[in-house]
Amino acid sequence: MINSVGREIPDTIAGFKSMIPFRGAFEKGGSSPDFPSKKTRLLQGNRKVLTSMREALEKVGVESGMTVSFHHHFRNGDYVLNSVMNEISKMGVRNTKIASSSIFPCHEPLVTLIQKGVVTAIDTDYMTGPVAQAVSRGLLEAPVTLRTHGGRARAIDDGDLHIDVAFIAAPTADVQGNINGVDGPSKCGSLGYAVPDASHADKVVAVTDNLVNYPLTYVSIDQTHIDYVVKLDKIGDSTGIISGTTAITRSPIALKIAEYTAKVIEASGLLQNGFSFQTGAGGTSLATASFVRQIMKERKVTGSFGLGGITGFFVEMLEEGLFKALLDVQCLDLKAVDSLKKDLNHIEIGSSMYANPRTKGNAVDMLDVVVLGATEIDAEFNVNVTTGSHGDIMGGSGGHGDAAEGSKLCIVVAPLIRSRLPTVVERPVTISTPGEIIDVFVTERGIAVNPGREDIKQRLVDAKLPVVEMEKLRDTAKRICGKPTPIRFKDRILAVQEYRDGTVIDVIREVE
Amino acid sequence: MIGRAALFVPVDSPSMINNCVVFDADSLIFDLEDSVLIDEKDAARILLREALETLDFLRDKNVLVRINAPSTQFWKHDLMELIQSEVRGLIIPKATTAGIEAVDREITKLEKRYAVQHRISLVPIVETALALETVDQILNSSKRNIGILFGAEDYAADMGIQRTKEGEEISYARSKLANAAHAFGLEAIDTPFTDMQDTEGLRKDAARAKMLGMTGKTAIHPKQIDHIRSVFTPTQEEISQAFNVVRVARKNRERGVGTFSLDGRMIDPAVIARSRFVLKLIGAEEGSSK
Amino acid sequence: MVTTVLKKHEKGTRREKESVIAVEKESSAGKATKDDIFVLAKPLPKDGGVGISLSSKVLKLYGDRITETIEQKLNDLGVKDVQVTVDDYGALDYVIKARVETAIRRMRK
Repeated sequence: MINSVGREIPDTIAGFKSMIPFRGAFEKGGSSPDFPSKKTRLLQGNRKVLTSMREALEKVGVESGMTVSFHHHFRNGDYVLNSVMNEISKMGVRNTKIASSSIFPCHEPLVTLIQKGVVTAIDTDYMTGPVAQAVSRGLLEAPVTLRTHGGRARAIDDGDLHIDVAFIAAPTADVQGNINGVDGPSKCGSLGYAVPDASHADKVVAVTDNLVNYPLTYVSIDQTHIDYVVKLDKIGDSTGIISGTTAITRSPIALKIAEYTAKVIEASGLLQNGFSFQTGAGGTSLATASFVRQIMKERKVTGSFGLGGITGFFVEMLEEGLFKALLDVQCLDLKAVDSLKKDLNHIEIGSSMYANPRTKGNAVDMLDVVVLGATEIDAEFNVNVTTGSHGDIMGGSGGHGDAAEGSKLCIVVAPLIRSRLPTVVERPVTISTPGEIIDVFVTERGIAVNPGREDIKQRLVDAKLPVVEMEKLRDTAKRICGKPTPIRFKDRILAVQEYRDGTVIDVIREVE
Repeated sequence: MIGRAALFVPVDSPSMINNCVVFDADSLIFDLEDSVLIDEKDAARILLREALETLDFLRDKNVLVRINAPSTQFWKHDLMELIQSEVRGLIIPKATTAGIEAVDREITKLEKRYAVQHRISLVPIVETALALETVDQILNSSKRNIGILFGAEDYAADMGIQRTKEGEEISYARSKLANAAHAFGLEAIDTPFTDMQDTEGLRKDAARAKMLGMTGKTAIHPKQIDHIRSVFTPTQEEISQAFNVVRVARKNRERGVGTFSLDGRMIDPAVIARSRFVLKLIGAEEGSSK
Repeated sequence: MVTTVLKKHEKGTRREKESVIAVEKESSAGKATKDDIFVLAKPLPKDGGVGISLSSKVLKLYGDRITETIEQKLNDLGVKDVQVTVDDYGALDYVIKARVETAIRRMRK
């Protein structure tokens, strides 16, 4: 055969593949049937940038029965999910599955969409607010799939959770779809939870309110994953976005818990050079981090990394040299965002690297200590962070199960009683994280150690910390609060709580 | 026993009542006086009575109650409500000789009427110039007295002097009270430090009180407790010396010897009593769940 | 006549309703804040019976128990004709008992 530049090309070479002769640049002959590709080629002159959500939806071919995904880096300041779903609804599309890494009170409009049949399934790691309440009342026909953050990455990577279109709220995007979260009026920092979506969704749409010229220099997710860029006036409310962190608690009870927790960490023997640490953003977590920081300074300990969920507090520790690096899957405040942008040792990581158990190594498996919360815990240390004691869904695993399993020492902290509701119970309403990976439970009235960790228990006793049996805490709480009316459940299952590996650790039934 | 750190617990707050045992105060002072509005005195009284009756976690704590001053119309109602609960100690504000005598009489009457098994102690609060001047009479006026509390804010107001953080203006009062307390073998508890943000100031203030011979201090917020306790806790050396003295004294007593020499020091009954007090102060710690 | 005055608690805690009592009318005790319970007691005509109306932060789990506690206390106090309305924020039994007793005593004063 003669190709289009006049060269003789044999049809085949013995023992080699068959060959297709060159037909001209820019694939004038169309894409080869031997090299099919899911990804479409974007040629110069084709525009990725669109100015209306409707156009994007039409171009990606949204139709009924599809799965659309979102990240929750905008927390309760997100406009994108509602904006996309509103448009989808107007198009007459129905039976959509929402795969959002979390759902917040601002997503209330979803309740109406559920009622109308526009949304018929939800797949998420965490949910609170009107949507969670509506699900608890049985509004959604199909059970919700609840995962951990690492489990969601695994499910997307493995194909368990197939995403037709991923909508990625992008604080800054260039015209080719390179995006980051560190610049722009809606900046949120790390875009970690959007990474698996960008890699595996059939179509990916970046939604931005800050479009810049090519090329973007700090890139969280690059253009090779992005089909379209939609420019809107505003994609989020910055006060809601940067609302992740509170101040260090002033509650004397919470401070007591924090003080004990820091002492547990100190007594564990893990607070040495190379120490790695993850904790949350609530008042008690920050107080704990503050005490740990003090001890590290006194003992002149240089940690290796802080992980999370990064707050300005951890940034200060990085800048003080107490950590060599921060691995950031989510920024919780403005200080963290700005540090991520400027500091080379503050590293943005995707949720797979953060916590996917089925990948070639993840960050939580390298963790020394994590401090987590709990709504309920039983004498076997099984933890509930999915439902309240009254049975309604108000939360979800988030990163709980991932960090608990990966860390060397997992400490769960909580006040013994919250407004007459005991934290230590006979039977948690839901088990989100199994007791075998929870090592220590700290309350203001004592510290319980999992029988599987005699080594830790001895160290705490030697450090003269108030070690008690879990049963004693449970009985104390019961005595103080009195016996509650047992909650009764119907048969109907409203949600399925998965563990990070995709197996089902519990189901959430409808309350009578 | 009042101890090194006594935490004031405002009785109008169920949250505080529920949680006050969590902090390592040597004693808890439930307050029916200044932290309770006049219209709520009745509610506070009843709430406290129910709490003491029901909350078993209060039972193994040193519980004291600051009732209303004998010059008010409330104190008798306070006593009536509390007499059948487990309260072992009452703190009497704006103490005067006549006032303490009246309280003592009323308690004795009620103890008999209700066949109360345990003995109720008293802790007068010295808050006026007259009270300071006549402190020995106040202490003599009742055998129930186990210590004195100093109320510097009211005292300064009475004296017409300015209160300062450095506290030079109350040095004399502190010394006099510490002296009187020691003379009668009682505890001397210092006034609260009101700037909750100033930890350094709190420690300095407590140290000054200790230097003048006071044995403990009140805390108005849980976060003050650890600081106060550490200032008023005897040093390791003081503690081991005290152990020695008490141990040897016990042996000598069996042999009928009252005064003796130990490590070059003269040990007389006064020294033995002080050593016992030191042990009692930290013995309170050993009894807790640590 | 009952005058209801909305006052801010001096220490800056949350809202507190206080009824100014005149001629044995309704009275209240407690505060609508964490761990406490606001109790409103209204006298009913003689032998009008005892009515309890409850709103609670922990209604599902402790509603029955709270009602029981209130009933028991009213019984102990020998009250036969009162309408009790409560707004509960996770108060323990001893707080409920104390607030009910206080409200009744104030009503009877």
